[in-house]
Amino acid sequence: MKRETLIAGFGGQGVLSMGMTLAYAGMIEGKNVSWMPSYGPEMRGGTANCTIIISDEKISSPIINAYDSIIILNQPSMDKFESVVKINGQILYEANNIINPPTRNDVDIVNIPANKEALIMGQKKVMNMIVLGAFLGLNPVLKPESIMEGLKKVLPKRHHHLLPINEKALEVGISLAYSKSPS
Amino acid sequence: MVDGAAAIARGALDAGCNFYAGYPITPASGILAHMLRELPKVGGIGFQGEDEISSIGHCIGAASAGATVFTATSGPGLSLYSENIGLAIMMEIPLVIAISQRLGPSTGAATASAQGDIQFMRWCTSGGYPVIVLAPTNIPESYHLTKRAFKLAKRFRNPVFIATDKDTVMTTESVPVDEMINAPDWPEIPTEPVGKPLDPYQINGTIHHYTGSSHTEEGYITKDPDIIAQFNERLKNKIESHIDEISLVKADLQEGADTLIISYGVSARSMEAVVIQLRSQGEKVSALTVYSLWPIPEKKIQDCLRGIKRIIIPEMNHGQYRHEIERLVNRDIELIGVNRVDTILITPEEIMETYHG
Repeated sequence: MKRETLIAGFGGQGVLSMGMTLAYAGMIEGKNVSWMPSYGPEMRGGTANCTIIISDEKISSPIINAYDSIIILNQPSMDKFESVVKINGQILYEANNIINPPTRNDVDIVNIPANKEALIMGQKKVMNMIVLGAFLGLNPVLKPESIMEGLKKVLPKRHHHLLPINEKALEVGISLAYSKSPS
Repeated sequence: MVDGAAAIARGALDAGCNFYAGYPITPASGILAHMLRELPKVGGIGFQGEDEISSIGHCIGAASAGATVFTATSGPGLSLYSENIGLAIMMEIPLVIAISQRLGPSTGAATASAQGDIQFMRWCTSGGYPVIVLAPTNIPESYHLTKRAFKLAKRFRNPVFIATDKDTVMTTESVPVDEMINAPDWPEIPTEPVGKPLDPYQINGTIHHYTGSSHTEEGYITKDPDIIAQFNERLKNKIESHIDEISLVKADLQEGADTLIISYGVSARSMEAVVIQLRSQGEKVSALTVYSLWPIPEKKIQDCLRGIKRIIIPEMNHGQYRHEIERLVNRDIELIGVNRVDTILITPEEIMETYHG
């Protein structure tokens, strides 16, 4: 198994921490993992993305040509990365943030209203975990429990009281994915 | 999981570093943060200077009093370090400096990788005297090469650079524990100092003079041309007569290959992926990772050239190391650069395209 994923959006949406959580979860399950961040010089509001590789084999290069999946949280990232998904790969995106949906017909395209669901939950910051849940629902490569273990390492201890709502968000995302699963 | 910054900082601590001074700069701040947090735990001093000039000055001061010192910055910080690096060369101060390269010139693309400071590190100060530059490609190498840098700095009493970059420092990876614990199969660096010992540690019994001016072996300023010539020749020769000892490469040669790919730092990761891919397709290809960029490991490079008709050199600059290799190889060999200076890392696919012409 080797899964190469890109997560992209605005700084502040939790792009990098989502990726870090995913990588930790992979490590917890005994995989080789790599997390490579990329962001602009701005403190907030700039573009941010990260590449996560989860693999049974040793990872020779964290730099890759094309992705199995991309997770897109804003329009500029969609415009930039739609083309780098492998044929038969997957584009998962946050519905409220995308005005012009992807147009490729050789990949699976799934959108998740994660912003809306996060607002319903009363904590809009968990949007990223809803999307991550959807990713897991679509790609059951790691266990949700491992994601929560990973999140414990990524989230500073002072925020650990937020773990339960993040776990709830993960579950919301997984069930959204089941209802959206492409045939 | 560990990132390159932590690996470098751990390497420094395990090499006995007990003094660090630096100033924050992307993408080297992770090293500063780690050192400031960890040094007090081992009784060392971690210090954020008011700027880069002061930081390297503190390092030189601490080293001249016997501390094992380390600092890290990026290209713009190296500009500010450069005058004092000359002082460290002249005073024969053991000093390890990590340069986490980002895309210049100037502020450039502060959050993007580059390999544009390869020549800058070598020629960063006046006089053109040699320095040693080591370049890791991944996390275990970041740790082990940092430890090695300290040994070289002490042996040659000279600044030693670790040439890394944003993506080697900030990428976080899972690393098998044994790759971190077990030292790679590299030749040991002897511990005894090279050349006439001008003992920076001998502060008991005698007063030692330090000066950036040309000086006698006792540290007193001199204008005697013979003494100056002897001293300056020694500064040059102490490094250049030990190239074989300093040279460190990883040669992954394949019998019958007529293409050799040479790379270093983050670009060598893509090279590694391409070599695996090409060989799985039945192609014959050799690869050379250069760990000791300066002094140039000429013999070790030339040892890899048997049967080679073409050399591909991926690097994230306009060919700074390719031009060095050009000097070493027969003109019959074709040299092809894969170069990028646009914030995007060189992908395995790009090297592959160059390979297939």
